[in-house]
This record gives sequence, C-alpha cells and structure tokens, in this order.
Amino acid sequence: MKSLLLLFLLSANCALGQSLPITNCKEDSSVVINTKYSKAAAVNAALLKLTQMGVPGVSMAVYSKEGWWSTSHGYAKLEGQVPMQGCHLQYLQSISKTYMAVAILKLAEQGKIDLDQLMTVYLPKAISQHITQAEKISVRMLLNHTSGIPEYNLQPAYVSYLLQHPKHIFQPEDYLRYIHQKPLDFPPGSKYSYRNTNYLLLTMIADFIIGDHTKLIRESIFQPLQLTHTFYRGDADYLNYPTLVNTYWDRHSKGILENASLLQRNNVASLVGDDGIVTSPIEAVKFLKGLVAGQLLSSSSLDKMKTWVKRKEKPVYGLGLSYVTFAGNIGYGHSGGGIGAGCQLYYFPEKDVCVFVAINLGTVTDSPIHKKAESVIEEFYAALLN
Amino acid sequence: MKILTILVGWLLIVPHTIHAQDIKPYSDFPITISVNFHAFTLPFRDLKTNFRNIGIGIGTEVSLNSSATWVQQVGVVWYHNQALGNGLLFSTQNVWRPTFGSNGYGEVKGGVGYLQSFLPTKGFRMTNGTWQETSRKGKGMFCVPLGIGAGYDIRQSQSMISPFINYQFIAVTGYNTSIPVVPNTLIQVGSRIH
Repeated sequence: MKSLLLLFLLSANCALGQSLPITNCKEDSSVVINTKYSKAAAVNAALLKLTQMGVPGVSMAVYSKEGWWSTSHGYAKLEGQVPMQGCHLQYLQSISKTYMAVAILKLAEQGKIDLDQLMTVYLPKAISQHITQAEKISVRMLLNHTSGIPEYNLQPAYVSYLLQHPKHIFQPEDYLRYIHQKPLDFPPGSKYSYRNTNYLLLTMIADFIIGDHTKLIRESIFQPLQLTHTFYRGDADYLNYPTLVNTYWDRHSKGILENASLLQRNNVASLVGDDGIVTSPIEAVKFLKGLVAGQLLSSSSLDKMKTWVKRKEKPVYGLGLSYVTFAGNIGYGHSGGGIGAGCQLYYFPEKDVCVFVAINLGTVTDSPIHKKAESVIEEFYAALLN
Repeated sequence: MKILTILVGWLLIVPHTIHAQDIKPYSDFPITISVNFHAFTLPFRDLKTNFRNIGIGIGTEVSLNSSATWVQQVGVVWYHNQALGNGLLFSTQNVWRPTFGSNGYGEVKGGVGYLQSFLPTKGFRMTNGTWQETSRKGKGMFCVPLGIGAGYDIRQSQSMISPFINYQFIAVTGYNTSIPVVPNTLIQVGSRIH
C-alpha cells in the first residue's frame, strides 16, 4: 500500500516540461531601420492591443517605399518575462509552402520537373500507393491544392497520437499512412481545398528527383538571398536555437494559455514541405521581397505562381501563394498557423508594401483571444496600408 | 513494471484474505477496486501508451435483476497522464453481464460521466494588462464511457471476489471549440469484493 501511495504522490507532481530556454539577442544589422517611419505610431498602437488582449508576444517587419521598419511587443517567453525582440526566430508554419513552391518552380525552370505531369511519374509506387487515384493527380494540382487528396492532420488517429506523444518525431511516410487509400475529397482538378498533404508529397517528389529537397531550398532561396537567420531541417542544430520563441496554446478554449514549446518544436521538426522553416521577421520579408523582385524565379515562373484558382468565383490560391484582401488592399503571400504560433507574410502590389507579422500563440485551436485579435489584425493592416 | 506487477497482484490476492461472515455469494454494493491505465487515443490503438499512464479507481454497483446479469455501476477513477494532464473521472454505467462456464462472465457497459481534466503545466491568463499564473484546474467535461470486459467469480463459503479486466472507451465532449469530442481509453484491472 505504501508503494502505491508513493507512486501516486510522485506521479501527481510529475508533468512534462514544455518550456524551452531562450536568450535575448542582438537586432539584425543587415538592414537600416527607418526610425522616422510614418506609420510607426498607428502600427505600434494596434500591435500593443494584441498583447493587451492576451497574445503573449508579437513581432513584425515591413519593407515599403519608406524603407525597413520593425517592431515587437510582449514576451518571447512568459515564464521569466523575456521580452519579444525582432531578432527572435519565429515559426513560419505554412508560409513554408511558399518556399517549397519556389523550390519546385526552380526545378521546373531547370527542366527537371513538368508541372502538368502526373505525380506518379516522379514518385515510386511505394509512396504513391498510399494515395487514391494518384495516377490522375498532377504536380500542379498539388501546388494549388486542387488534388482532392485528404488532409492528414485532420485524422483523429494522428491528432490524438500527436498530443499523447509530444516528443515523437514523425517520418514523412507516417503521415501518408494516416490517409492510406482514403477516398479523395473531390475529383482531381475539380475544385480547391487547402491540404497540407499536397506539400508533403511535393517534398517527396523533390527528394526523388534531386535527392534532398532541403538542399534545394537552401541553394535556391537561402543562399541567393543571403538569409543567415532562416533555418530548415537538415541543419545540425535544427530548432535548438537559443533565440527561438517559446510558444503557447489555449488547450480548452478558455483564454488560459499553456506553454506548448516542446510539443510545437517537435511537431514542426516532423513536418516537411508544408511547414518547418523558422526565421526572423526581417528575413521573412527579405524572402517575399526577393521573390516579387525576381531574385529567385523568372517572371514567367512568378506569373505561374500568381495564376489563381477560384472558390465561389473569387481568386483564392496560386502555386504556393494565397490571394487576400486586408483593409481593402489586395495582397498575396501566405499565412501560417500551428499549435503554438501564427503568422502572415504578404505583399501588397498597389502599395508596394511587404510585411510579416508573427505571434507566439497557437491558431489551430480556437480561443476567445483569437476572436478579439481578428479585428485588431484588420486595424493593423489599415494602419500599415491606408 | 515491477510496481505494476505488485499492484495487480495486490488486487487479486487481497480479496482472498477477507473473511466476512454471513455474506451471500453476490450482494449489492460490493467494493470495486481497480488499477487503471489511461491513454488519449482512439479505441484499440496505441495500447502500449496506456501502460505509461497509471491510475486508480474505486466504485460499487447494484443489481437490477435477480440473477445480477444487469447491474448499475458507479465509480471514480483518478489517472496520471504526463502529456495531456491528469484526470478525475466520475461515471455511472449500465452493465450487461452474461455468464459463461461455471464462473466466468463477460461485460458490455455504457453510461455517462464527468471528467475533470487538469492542465499538465501551469497556465497563464491576461488580467488587467498583466499576466497571472493560474491553477492547473483545467476543465470539467461531460463524457460517454463505453466498455467491454471479462471476469471470473471466485466463490467462497460466504463471500465472493471477482477479478476482472475491462477496456473502456470514453468520448469526452467539449475539450475545446475546435475539437468537440476527443477519445480517451482506460484499461482497468481489478477486483469486485462482495
């Protein structure tokens, strides 16, 4: 009986430590910050509201006709109240898809892949056999989410395993097993529906064509743009960076936040192509700015990326780019959301403004904080663009 | 694993040491004690994980017919789950308990319950512009437990003990607004002492 009691007393106090160490850092000196940016006061006011309503921390960078500007509010880690800084690394989450799309288009420019060829041409049977009607799905359909392939991260078996095993690292094929031979959501090419599985398959295609898609991303994006604070898998210290933000989630949708950094880090460490990149706000902007300026792809390839598929007659998604409207301004780029983080990276062509904003609060589970934050985000874009 | 063996052994052996006077082989309101193994998983998946999250349960039951093949159980289970947070489960279940052989029985059960799911780590809430730490109280949620099991009646002259094993699937409602129902499972090894 004594041992029984002892066991329960011990286990009651034994919780999985989720927080990760983080240090202050030195701000990026590769760009000159315009300290007289005309929108600074209005943007700061909007972002401050976010932190006052329960977002732990927010960090952003913008490049416009006025040059570079960046700001941060709140905390990179609530425990110990470590202030958020512009040099802290942020999770890009699904914005990583834009990087992956650029890498695939780079392969297309090199003649190594045909976007309208079927995925089965590039994938071995062992991989494509997981997908129903794989022989009817083209590379382009994967890029613009018109494949109809089911979403792996909506599978209850996957979600429950992920939460019960926060230290587990999934292998790419593990995700495909969760959707093995499940019926397509719709006939290939007939409509648009955003699915992470599409970009997971694109990384596998790239791996089979050139051996290592991470090398392709580094060589076709990180190196030409000299992104030295942008990291993806394959790096020796991948996601063990002392300046990576801690992340939080509202498990029960009650407005109470828990540190989910370990779960977040291990989840992102498992994701390929549809997620997985971390960067600083300035380097996120450098990426999109470089893409629209033609530093990464030809104008023809960029036009392909901006060929929008429609939903309810409205443009919605291109090849790794989504089409959005904020405060009456049309933009394109991508958003990202995960267990412990959320972010947006958009270019607004009419204003020639490129902006990145990130929070260290998860967006995949609803929270009353999100509802309040939505209006502030609109206010943020209005301050920035109007 | 050694502790687990001791616990299971204790549950099976202790009833033999009880010497009650004037007790019929089956009587209402027996004491049910169980060791529980919890997992946040779909039914019959990832069974290995259950054995990492141990708990304890206590309960009783009352027969609904003379042959005691229909009974109503009530019980409470406390479990430890390092990743998802500890839990306290109150439930009542209607049990169909057909017998087979001379002393064996099976169980099919279902009912309703209430799960208090505690947070695995401390929480934070923004209050009047400053961050405050919160307790690990977590959230109380209604749930629907369903189970199957099997057991064996060991009849003594004036008492009966019934070691059993149960597998319970518990559909927990309102975990958060994004995931309306989440799956939990319990493997229960214990004994009913009449």
